[in-house]
Amino acid sequence: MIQSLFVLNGNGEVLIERQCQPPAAGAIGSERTACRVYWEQVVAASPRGPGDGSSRGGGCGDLLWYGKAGSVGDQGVGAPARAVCYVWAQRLTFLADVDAAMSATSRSVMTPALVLDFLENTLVPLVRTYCGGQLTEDALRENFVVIYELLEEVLDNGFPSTTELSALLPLVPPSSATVLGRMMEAVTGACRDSSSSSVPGGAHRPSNGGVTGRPPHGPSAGTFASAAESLMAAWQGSTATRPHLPSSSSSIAADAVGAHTASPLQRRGSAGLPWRSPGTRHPHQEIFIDLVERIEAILSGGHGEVIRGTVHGTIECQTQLSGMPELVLRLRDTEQAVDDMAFHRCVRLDAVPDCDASTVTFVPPDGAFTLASYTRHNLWTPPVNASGTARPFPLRVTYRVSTATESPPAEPPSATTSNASAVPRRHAPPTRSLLLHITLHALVAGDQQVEDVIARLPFTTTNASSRASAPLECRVRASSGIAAWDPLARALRWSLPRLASHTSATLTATVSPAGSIDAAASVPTAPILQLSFRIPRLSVCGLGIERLQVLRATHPPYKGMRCVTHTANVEVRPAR
Amino acid sequence: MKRRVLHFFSSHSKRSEVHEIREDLRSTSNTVKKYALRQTIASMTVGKDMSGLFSDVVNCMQSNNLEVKKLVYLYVNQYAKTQPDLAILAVNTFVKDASDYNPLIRALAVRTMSGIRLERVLEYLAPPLRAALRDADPYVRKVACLAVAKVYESSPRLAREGGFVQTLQAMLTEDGNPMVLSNAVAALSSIARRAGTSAESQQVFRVDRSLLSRLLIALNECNEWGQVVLLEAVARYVPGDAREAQVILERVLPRLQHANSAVVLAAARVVRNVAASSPAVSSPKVLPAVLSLVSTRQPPEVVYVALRTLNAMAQLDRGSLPGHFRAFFCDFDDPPYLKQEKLEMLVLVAAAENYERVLPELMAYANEVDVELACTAVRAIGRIGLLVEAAADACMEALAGTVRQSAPHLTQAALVAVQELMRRYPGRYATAAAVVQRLVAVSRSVDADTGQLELVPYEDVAARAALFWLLGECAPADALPLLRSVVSAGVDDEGFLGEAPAVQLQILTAAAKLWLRDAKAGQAASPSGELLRQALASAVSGAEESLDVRDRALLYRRLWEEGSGLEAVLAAERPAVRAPEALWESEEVLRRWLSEIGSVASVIGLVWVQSADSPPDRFVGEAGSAEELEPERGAESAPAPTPSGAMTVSPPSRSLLSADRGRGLRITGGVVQDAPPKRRWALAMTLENLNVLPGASGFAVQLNRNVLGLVPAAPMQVRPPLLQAGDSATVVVPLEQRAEHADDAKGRVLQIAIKCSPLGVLYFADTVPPTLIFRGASGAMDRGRFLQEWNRGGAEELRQRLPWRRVSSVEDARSRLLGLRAGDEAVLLHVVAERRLDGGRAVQLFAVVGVGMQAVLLVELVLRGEERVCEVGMRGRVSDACRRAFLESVGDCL
Repeated sequence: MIQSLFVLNGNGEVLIERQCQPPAAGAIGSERTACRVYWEQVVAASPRGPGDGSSRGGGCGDLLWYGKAGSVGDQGVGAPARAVCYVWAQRLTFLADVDAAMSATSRSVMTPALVLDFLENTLVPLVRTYCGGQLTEDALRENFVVIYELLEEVLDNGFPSTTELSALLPLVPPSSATVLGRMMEAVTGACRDSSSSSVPGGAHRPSNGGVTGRPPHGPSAGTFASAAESLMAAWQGSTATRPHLPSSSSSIAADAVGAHTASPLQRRGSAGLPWRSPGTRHPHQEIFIDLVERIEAILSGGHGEVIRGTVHGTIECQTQLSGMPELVLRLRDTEQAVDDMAFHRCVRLDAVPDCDASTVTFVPPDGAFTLASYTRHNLWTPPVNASGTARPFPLRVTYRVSTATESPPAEPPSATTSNASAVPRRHAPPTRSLLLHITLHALVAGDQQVEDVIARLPFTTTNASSRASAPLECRVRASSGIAAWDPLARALRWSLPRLASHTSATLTATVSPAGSIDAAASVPTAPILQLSFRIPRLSVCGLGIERLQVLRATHPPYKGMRCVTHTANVEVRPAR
Repeated sequence: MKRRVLHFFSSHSKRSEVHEIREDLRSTSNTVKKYALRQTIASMTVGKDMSGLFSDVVNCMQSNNLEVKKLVYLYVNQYAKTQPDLAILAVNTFVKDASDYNPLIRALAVRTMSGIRLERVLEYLAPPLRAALRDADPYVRKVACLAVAKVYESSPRLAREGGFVQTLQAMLTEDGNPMVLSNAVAALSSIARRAGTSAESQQVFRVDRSLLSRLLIALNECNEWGQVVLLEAVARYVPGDAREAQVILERVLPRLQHANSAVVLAAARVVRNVAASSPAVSSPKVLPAVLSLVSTRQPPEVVYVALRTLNAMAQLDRGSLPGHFRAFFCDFDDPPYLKQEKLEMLVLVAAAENYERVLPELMAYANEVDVELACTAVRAIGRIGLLVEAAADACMEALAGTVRQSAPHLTQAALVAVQELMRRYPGRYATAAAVVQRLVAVSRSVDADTGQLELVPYEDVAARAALFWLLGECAPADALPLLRSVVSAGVDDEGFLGEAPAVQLQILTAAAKLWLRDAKAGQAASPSGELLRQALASAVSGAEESLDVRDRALLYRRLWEEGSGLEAVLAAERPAVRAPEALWESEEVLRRWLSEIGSVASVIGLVWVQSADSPPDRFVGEAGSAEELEPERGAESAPAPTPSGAMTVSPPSRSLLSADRGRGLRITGGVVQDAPPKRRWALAMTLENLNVLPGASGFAVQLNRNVLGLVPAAPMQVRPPLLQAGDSATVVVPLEQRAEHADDAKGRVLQIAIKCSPLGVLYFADTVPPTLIFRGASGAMDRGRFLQEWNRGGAEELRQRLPWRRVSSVEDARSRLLGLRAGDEAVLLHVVAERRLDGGRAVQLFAVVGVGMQAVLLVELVLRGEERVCEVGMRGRVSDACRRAFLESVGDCL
């Protein structure tokens, strides 16, 4: 249970405060104690405040409340335990004071961890959207009235309530100063600062049973909501720091359109489908289906074997169809390709008796939504106790590291060489350095290619010893693409726009301590290789769309289908 | 100078600002008003006091502009608490708005009024709220549902008397809108949580069969947060038969694959509970669903929750997870606490079929720069060897592979692990020379000055002890010079006398073993004899601090002088150390955690106690801090009167200390009283050593001041004195009551400290059962004293109304009350005065109840026949927990 919620700026000043519940009897501290506790923690841990990305621990149950988003709490015998959950969004802090004892005694599943999930994946995106896509102190001050109204709807009585943008928009119209507000104004003609004094929704009185004629802006509101969703998704993607599925936004987007039958302004038709209005009309009939798969894997650098690999996939739909069409989607190889599959609620589950069934029937919501998400474990690793060859990883990576004692180099600088130290030292003592050798080999079918390959080698260590922060210098040579050493980030970055099927690219680099006298003694630790790439027209799981039928269509729609594989998190461990 | 100007400027601007805003608020233009209101609220957020504008702002409420109204409501909400008189002014408008034609405004008015939480305002809320609960618009009904919960928090009386709780209950079965349903459920759960007793909360919100089906149908129609609420309600329902269980599963299983982690965990809880309740149904999908949360897509905190849940699952069912071991491989970016938790999981899932893949992964972590992670990885390799016999050889090899001269922290961890493995599988590694050679090789260095061999000074006592154990057991080539370098170093803070007792013991044993080996080979006058003599001499003369060391040295010397005795003792066949259980917690506790998947208690690892007769008010295991206890006054110094006759009590099954918190020692039991007529107090406990190596010994117990004034009457005697890993012992410590040790404020909590070696002092707590809290004898008091105590200032009174459930008449109730017995079978209520009220239809009783050692609770009981309630008033310096216990016993009796 969230007792109060605050938004603080970089100096710990309260910008927004919302008290959801009165403190329980015998609770510790006053209403703003959480802010004080939090700020003391910030000051103690890092003088720079939020935004520097450092991680640190909290007080109560130091394991759970740790990291970028953490909690602090004071817990005593018999006293209600409190947890302060906070997430950082740019320079702002979103902070929730959670009654942990309450959620413990009531056996509620709303633990501090899940409150953090709510803050990070639901509230922050919503506030960002209402602030016009940017989360700054100024934007918040500009829109604080809207934010207050938003919080009132999102967090009623300390528990998340309405969180879908499409349901919120009619309840809390965005300020006209924002892009969202102008869009809303343009599409619906209704916005908070439109000078007409008429109350939105006031035009129709609710009659018994809610039988109203046409919703005041039925179809256009739907179109607008989907446009707003895509806008939101775009902001999400551009500002996401951690590589993750936009499923965080899709938890909003998935139920985007008209999830709330109760919204007074978006009363849906009586067809019994809360996610679709029968009055939807579009000039062009279109349906796009994307199979998007994201790879999470750990590879070993020796021969590029996969130590652990998981694929998370989603079927993203974008529909513009009039009326109430029914879609039948037939998937190929579901059984072999996928471990488990979850569907959007529009899918008729009675028509899908088991996840193994490969035919899906649904009446889609209007606009963008995630039809299904699925997971495949152990795609490249053989199952335990079963002999059998595993499938090859689409990109074969070898990453070897060795140490060498060498004199300062005499090799001519090549075009792709970049020196961190401007002046090469001529008569330096022999330094011990780290030799890195990376080979990438694309193992995709002949007509495909691996695109946007980025390999990153961060030379940062978890324990901050003096050795770790000593300056490094790096000589690097790549067979193709651009390789550069970033002395500030202490990272080597190698990017390749594309790698055609069955071609290779190699990179060799020498990293050694720069400058100092005792450089000879210290060799940097071999870093992990973080890899990201994209393979269009490939579903690594082997899932495919066999057929898409549209029943009850007014006109035959245009159908677009494609698949793409991304990396979510692929790391390669060095082989010695 | 500059500062003064600024100061003047700001105060000037403030005064004029307020003035200007007031002017603007009185404007007729909505735009101007709106701007002024925005400014007001902006100043309010910054912390300026804008309460002076209250009446002007309230006037703006008459506006029919939604924008303006919302702003006014925001303002009123903030200042209503500080300006209660003015808030009343706003009430009329609120009530009017609550019947506005626009549903948004109706909802807004109800929500704002319920949020003000002033009883005077709330009284006006009753009629509009009643209307809102029956509103045609579902949005208004939804807001009204939550408003009831808010009203209940501020004034339970109003919510109950106004019939709102009943209306909510009716809405559960009547309202057709899924969102309203989910919010009604949320409101009722919140009310049930606030309700004092579990019986009351059951009364407020009970899920029956018809409601269940409604909840399940609504599940698909709600957004994720609504689903969480509904799933939590479904989790309260215990299915009656397998068919019903099947119906629940059909509806809930798809939720396991939701994108929202809260939904997944709530659904996992339901599925798990359903499967647990009916054995015919299996729950195959819970595991993959929770596993899917272990992913970089989730925030690390959520991953942690998932890992803790999986941990309990893996402990309960070791066969379920080995195939999924890859999910617990650490990512580079994982925060340290996740990595630690994942390593723990790797130990739990390791099995004969997967250790070949798990061990190389752990060895990779052992090479990490993070020292703590590397050490945990090495320890994990050792633990896998202990648990999985097939993996033992591979683990030995892996341990040898991790050892490096440059990484002493790894060598220390490996030393302990190798020693444990050798003791676990005796005989098997008698010739594990390669590993030991390597360990010894990296643990020694050559002194630059003297050219002598010496040992690397490891900090970890356990590692040093393990090293000497290995030297004695395997007798590698350098054993003798290395031991000599320690034994013959004469300085006080170095050498033999500088070592910890645990290390000294191992040195003695190692020296004796070396001598034995030489003697067997026929070299009786070898250097090892000299070594042993030196070691024994320093132990006997120097080791004053540890009697154990001296005793062992004396014993060895005697046996040595005797001739063959030493061999009989040291070379005897030793039994294998039993494998530590994979189960850290008792099965019952694990099952309980899993029945509460995702709750705080199950994540942090607390045991939640809710017996039928105690209100849920605290956790066991969260004992007080060390300062509160005085463990130095240990039982060694406690007077030991010989108990007259051994007590025969069996320990209760309350969990006192989990193995997790007890670092391998699990304690169950609690305070008991033996059978009449003796009624002696005792602390009966079962101690289980799950994996304290080399065994727990030297137990002593102490109690903190408590309500019963209990102190140990005799030292704690554990049989056998050395509790080996895997063994358990039952111990009964006789207790006696002492007035100076009584503390009435402690309630039913009995804080206990147990000292043992090598764990040190462990703190935990027991909850005294309510029947034992009350003292029947010596509770009587005369009327004058009673009056004096009753009227004494400062003795705050607690009043409560308890409904009758079992009794029918006043007489019946009275006789039942007077028949109540305390823990010692004496009468509980000592009636001081009694009179009839309302012409005999009610009875008023004044009575005294003895609590704990010496406190008394003064009670007034009024039995009202017409209303079928018992009013209880209580005074006296007695803690709330005891008062509640009394209320419960009265409530149970009626």
